[in-house]
Amino acid sequence: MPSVTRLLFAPHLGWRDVAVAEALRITDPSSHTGILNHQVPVLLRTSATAAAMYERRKRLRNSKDAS
Amino acid sequence: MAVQPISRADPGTTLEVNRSTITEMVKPLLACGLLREAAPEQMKARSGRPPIGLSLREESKFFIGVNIGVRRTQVGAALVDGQLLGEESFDTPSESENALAQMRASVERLRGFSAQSNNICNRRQRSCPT
Repeated sequence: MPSVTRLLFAPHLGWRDVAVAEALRITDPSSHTGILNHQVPVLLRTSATAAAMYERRKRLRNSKDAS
Repeated sequence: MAVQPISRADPGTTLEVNRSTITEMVKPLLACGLLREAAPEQMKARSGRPPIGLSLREESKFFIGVNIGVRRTQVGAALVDGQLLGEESFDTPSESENALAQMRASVERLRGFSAQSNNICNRRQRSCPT
């Protein structure tokens, strides 16, 4: 799935070209990954896509034969 | 990883790479705390030396989700297994700059709260005999 970082158009909100991921990106100075100032990844998706991704992962985790 | 723990041989079979390659791939994930080696007795070995399984350290990671609605915006933090750590919501401002500022403030609050909650949970888990 391509990296999506900007909201191009939200007709109900009237927002255009908003850098949502950039605004919400935070740096973790005490990351236990061992990487200093680790940039916490931000995924931007529509609610339908995000819900579908969650359902898929949840079902995979509960499945006995999925890998 | 759907069912955990898994044996080290499983991803090797799926990815069609040998076990030593898997070991090299897994080392940094173990070192950074994303994976843990499962106790041998948790794996059902048929015979011979019990295998050491791998599982995700679910308690070490949490996610923060932001749902930008037309009227309300919700921000929530949850563990990998879906357990909710905390949530906030507010009326979505009409200006995107104001909305993003509120979202960021909320994310920062939940991040601090979730990290503290997680540390408390982890300390309790470590102190409990298994």
